[in-house]
Amino acid sequence: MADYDLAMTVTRHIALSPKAICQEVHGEMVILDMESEQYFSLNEVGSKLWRLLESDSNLSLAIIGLLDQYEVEGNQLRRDVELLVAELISAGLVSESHVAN
Amino acid sequence: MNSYAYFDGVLQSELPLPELLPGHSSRASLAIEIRLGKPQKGLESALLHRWIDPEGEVDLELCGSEFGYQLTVPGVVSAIIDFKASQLTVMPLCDDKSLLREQLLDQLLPRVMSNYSPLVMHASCVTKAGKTLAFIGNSGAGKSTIAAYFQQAGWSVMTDDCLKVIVSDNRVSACGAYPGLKLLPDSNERLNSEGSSQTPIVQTFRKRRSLQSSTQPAERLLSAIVFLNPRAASFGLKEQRGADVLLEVIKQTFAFNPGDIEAASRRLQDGRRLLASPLPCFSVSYPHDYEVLPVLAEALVERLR
Repeated sequence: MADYDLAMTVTRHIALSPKAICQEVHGEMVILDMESEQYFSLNEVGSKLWRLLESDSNLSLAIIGLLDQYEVEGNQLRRDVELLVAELISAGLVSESHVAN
Repeated sequence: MNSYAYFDGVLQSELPLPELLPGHSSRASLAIEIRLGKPQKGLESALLHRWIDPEGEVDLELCGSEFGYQLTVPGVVSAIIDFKASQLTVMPLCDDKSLLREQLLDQLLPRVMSNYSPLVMHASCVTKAGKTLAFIGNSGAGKSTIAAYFQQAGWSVMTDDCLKVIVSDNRVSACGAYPGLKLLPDSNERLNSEGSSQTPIVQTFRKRRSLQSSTQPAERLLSAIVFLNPRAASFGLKEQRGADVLLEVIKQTFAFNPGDIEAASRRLQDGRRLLASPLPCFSVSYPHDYEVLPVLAEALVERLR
């Protein structure tokens, strides 16, 4: 198991916008937000995060899913994911909610 | 009514379109009728989309009404589109006929065509001896200038502005709107592209438009797509794939109604299939300088060998 403590993570849920349509290409992803009619691109890691959140909105589980696939230090990955999630929220592509454990 | 060739289809038009070549409906995959009409007041319609330029001015508006869709270039031209009947009713809003035709050919009709085919792209295209190159980029990137340079080198111009890209069974082919070139005076002078003596030359704004062929080019298999990135410090050419390339493809694709989810999905899917095909995609960075053209052309031709 990676050096990442699940108990330290707030149980946040990230819901993908129903108005976002996505298309994968060569492991990366293009997303069209039908609300703003803007296009966005995600690299391979961002693309994998999107797919993980599609199947389960629990952000902690998505981070663990990424750690299973990439050999990277846990806290570094968490910081990178937090940055990406903040950008996705700012772009209106996802919304956040908190669920009490 | 005159018949004009447009892509692999035909326009049957009450409005004279000297920019286009004669067309034959018997051989056309699609026939669109263009009738002239008068602006109608009091027509109730819902605004679907506005295209706004960087200065905040409205370039184009799409509305929907009981009569169909209506595309309007404010102060220039408005057209009611009936897709069921494949008919446009064009209503002049100004007296400048060449401006009206320019907006019809370069803004309205490509968007109408995008309703029939997902990837109608803002691109130029040249062909020679079985090799066909498409150049994609923003306005001012040099699509027409590069096409004119290749023409000087013996290539044929399929289009300098609007290209229909068809992805089928992992093969990518393309078909140009019409084989014209629109060049600014300095490019015209430098590249001496006046077209054949039989073809009309239409002055629009600062650009001169000329037809480069007496026959409508047929659909051809593409050999490569080249994305143009001008104003770089030096020349660079690299093969690219991935989300950024798909983003660029979509950015340069005409959309009739950007708010139509199904159409947007089709554009994304076809774009993905384009990039998943064996067709090479290159990104070219170059300074905006005529001296770079031979370097660019040689590098691309070398890659196609």
